[in-house]
Amino acid sequence: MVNIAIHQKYIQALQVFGDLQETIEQALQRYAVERITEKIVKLSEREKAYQAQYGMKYPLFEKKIAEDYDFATHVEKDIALTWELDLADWEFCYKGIQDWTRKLTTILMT
Amino acid sequence: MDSQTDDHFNDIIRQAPTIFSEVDYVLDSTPERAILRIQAAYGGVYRIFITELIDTQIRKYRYYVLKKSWISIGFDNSPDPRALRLKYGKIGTEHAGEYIPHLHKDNKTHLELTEEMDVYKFIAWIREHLAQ
Repeated sequence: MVNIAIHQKYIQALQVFGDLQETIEQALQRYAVERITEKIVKLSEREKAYQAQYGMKYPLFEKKIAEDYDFATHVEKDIALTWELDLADWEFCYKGIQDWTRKLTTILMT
Repeated sequence: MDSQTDDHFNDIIRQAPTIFSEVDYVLDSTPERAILRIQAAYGGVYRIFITELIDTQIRKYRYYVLKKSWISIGFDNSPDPRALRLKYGKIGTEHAGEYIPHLHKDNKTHLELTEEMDVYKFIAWIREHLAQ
């Protein structure tokens, strides 16, 4: 638990809706869900753009690019010479969606 | 993003405009990882690309210098099968996915293994090898 200061105008307004602690927690939950959902949507858009560019989903690309000499050569010749830059951001998007989804689940389930 | 990663990225962001021009950056984070991507110009002809992805286990980096679309140099530790072959003599499943510091040069026609790089070593390399 962390103690924070809340402006009196919010206290006065929210007290009308019932127990202050519960009301503020509900408000924070709604705000967190909204912000996390926005994050997931943006990451999904970026992730889909990489999928379209490289013609496959992240887990397959990550595996092939790490193991297949000919595939790496093909990617550099036909798709993107600097795939390493894309791979880092693609990984962030793919795993970031999972990170935020887990956080969202935690917020909604507890 | 933990405070150590936060400080590290903020230091890079502060330093970048003192070395490069036309600096543009994107910083994003989740509860478990953070990424910093910088694009900039140097010496009038070079484009600089810096990416660091940090999670709880490893720092993945890419430090690239392009002259138009020609890759002058590219330091990274991505799991590249050609770096694997150079390090172990073969591409086997036992080392697949291993992060191997290496560099690409001459538009990726040459690859060499390197020591682990960081952005400060990269900046030192730029100052030593590229005309400002």
